[in-house]
Amino acid sequence: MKKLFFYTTLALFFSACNKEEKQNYSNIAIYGHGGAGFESHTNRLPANSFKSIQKAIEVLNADGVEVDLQIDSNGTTWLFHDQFLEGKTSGNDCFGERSTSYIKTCNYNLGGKIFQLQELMDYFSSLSPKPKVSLQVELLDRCIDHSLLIEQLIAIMEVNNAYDWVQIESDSPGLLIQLKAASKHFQTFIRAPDLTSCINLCSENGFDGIIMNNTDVSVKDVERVQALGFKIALFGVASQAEIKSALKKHPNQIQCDNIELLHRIMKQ
Amino acid sequence: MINKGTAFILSLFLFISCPTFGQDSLSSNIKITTHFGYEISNVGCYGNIGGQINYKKFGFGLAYILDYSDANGLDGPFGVATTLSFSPNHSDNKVINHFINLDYRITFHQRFCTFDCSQKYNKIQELNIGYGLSIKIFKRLSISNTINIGWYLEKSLSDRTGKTISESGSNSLINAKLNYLIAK
Repeated sequence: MKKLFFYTTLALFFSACNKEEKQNYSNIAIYGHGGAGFESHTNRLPANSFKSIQKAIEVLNADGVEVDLQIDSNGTTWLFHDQFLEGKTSGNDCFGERSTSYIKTCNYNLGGKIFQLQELMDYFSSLSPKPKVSLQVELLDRCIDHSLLIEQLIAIMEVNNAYDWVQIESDSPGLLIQLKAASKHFQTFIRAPDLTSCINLCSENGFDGIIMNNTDVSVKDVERVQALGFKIALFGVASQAEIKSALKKHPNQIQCDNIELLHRIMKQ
Repeated sequence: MINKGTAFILSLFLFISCPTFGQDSLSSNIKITTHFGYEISNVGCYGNIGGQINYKKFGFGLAYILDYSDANGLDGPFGVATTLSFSPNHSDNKVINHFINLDYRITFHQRFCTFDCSQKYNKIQELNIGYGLSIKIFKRLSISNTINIGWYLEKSLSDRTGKTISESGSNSLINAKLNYLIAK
């Protein structure tokens, strides 16, 4: 009887421990990083693949996905993170030097084909309401034809009328300036190592927001950016500590590698 | 309504207490152990608590599993694991015994839905076959470790389309347990 009393008391104690003041996070948009998060021991879906994006949107209930853009030698745009095909796929060599027909034959080592940007547009257009996309475009790869990439990106955005649900993020101010010049409707997010230079770039060029690593900004930094009328998205959010830290800052968007855990913490 | 934390503590109490009732009537060939364990698979990181009945060289185990990934366990996925094991050269006198095991588990993951909330949980099933070692530390206390390979099947209800999305693939699982012999 004493034992029963002890365990019951212990159980009630534990059940009472977890009460915290409930926060309202409804203004924070959740973006799955590379879909349902980058590959890990417990996530076997390749980042930027259809399966990963589908899981983020349809199963994990993310508001959108952050994906990476590459272009092949024929001008077809694909969702792929790395500059080179080897390592993650059955293919090899620099992405930008390979043809569309070659990329189509490549399989991810974890299974599945490489997904085209147009396929993502078609898939999201079939869903209601349309999920959001944060398209990361880097101009660091030497084997990619940058002018062709920008030309194709503008064409795809126009054809799909995607200005209100696709945002472009880049660490290249030149690219974002070209996109804004092509259409003022482009939602552009700049990524730079320090916040002040990001704010200056936004103010000078009319960019819409800033992408920062969660560890590089404080609550006050986020408030400062929002007070100036810009949006802020935080990445580098995967563990419990990182998620709690990001949520405390109340950014406009969180790009997360563990959407399920983020939901659980938001619900607490 | 009892929450999962309370259920976990009460299950711990029941697992430790219940098998000792009526132990005098048990044959000397039957041994009952309880265990705490931790396991990592391609599906998640889980803590487990359970019991195992061994008859000669064969064993049947049942455990309640709880997600401990990122130390947020008591709000996370939960499930049940069953294990069949066979220890070909088992002896009570040996310090180290080895065994093979067949492991089936099912875990339930809470859905976070906006549009279609007709179902509360998605489920993941795992089937693994493994090899393990058990090392006796004291008369009643032992540690065991298994390395498993197998297959998983995840079935989730789409929040957007209402259709079931299936995902399957190869799996690996590493398991470590602390076992306590409670009846012999």
